[in-house]
Amino acid sequence: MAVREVLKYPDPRLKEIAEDVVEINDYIKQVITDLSDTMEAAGHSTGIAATQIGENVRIVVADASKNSKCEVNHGRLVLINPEVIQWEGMIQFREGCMSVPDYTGNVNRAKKILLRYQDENLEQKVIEAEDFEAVLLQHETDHLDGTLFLDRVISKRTDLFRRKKFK
Amino acid sequence: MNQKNLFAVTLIAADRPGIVAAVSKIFYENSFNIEDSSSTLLQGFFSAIFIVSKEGVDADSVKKIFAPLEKTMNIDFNVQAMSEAGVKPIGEHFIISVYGSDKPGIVNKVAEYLANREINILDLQTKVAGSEKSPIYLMVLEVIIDPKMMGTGWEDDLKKISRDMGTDVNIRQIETYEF
Repeated sequence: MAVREVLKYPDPRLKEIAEDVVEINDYIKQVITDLSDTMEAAGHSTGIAATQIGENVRIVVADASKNSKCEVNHGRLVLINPEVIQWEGMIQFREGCMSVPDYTGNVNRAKKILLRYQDENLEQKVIEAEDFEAVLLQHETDHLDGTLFLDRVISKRTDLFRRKKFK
Repeated sequence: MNQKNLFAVTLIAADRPGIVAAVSKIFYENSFNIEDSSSTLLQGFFSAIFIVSKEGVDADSVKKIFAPLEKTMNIDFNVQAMSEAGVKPIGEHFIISVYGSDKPGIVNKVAEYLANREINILDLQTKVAGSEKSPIYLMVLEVIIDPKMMGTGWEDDLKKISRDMGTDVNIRQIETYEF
């Protein structure tokens, strides 16, 4: 059991690309435990990526059911080497991040995704996630590539008046 | 005077490249921090508000720093010392869009209702679009609804106001999540 410190930007480790997990060893098990403990300790948190606790491996722990408004979800997930393999639709949320305190911004995300990952036994799985859970999983998977929601913010303000002319 | 003083530096100028570069150069060279800022283009005029901080200066001395730029770029600067900020409102964020054929009073009727219900406007943008023959008025507001206001029928009231004006209205909640 260890609640770890959540790294805050501009810690350079948040911009690193995490390494694939190739075997489940004691270290990987410890990272999974620490991620779970850290997420639980944060209370409101619905997901955390290994990058956020300074471990450079492709692991995410997420639990969309902790958001009471999210009715359809897969509950607690341990995602090893997760990869979004299909995107559909678009949804806009105002996102914040434990690693970027005191700032929120509008981000466009896919409304529905297919996510391929390996479970805690390295068994290959594919799940379909929608709405809040889809956004959560995209946000957390981004962390493994050193991408923060700041890289995807479209506007702090409403976008109605941005006019594009297609000729 | 050693405390951190906040100033609002505002400008409205015919748009051209280089305004932000020139203004920020002055802030940088005179050791001001830009704490918060917002700028946009309004009818071809670049309109900017910078909230800046620096210790041990007053509004007059800040204004003087901009005097050379006022001459060379023909921009009028307004400098205002900031007193204590109001209490930051807490609640759910909503986007309200009101739009329809252009007529007087759209902004005022909506804003007066919100004021009477003590609803805070966080952001407001208006625009006249459409063609010259049939202009459309668009207003987009972001408001904060106090938890105790939720479910009190403010949305229905706004829909009625909009209906009476002959405009359309759309109200949607902004979901904010910290991941």
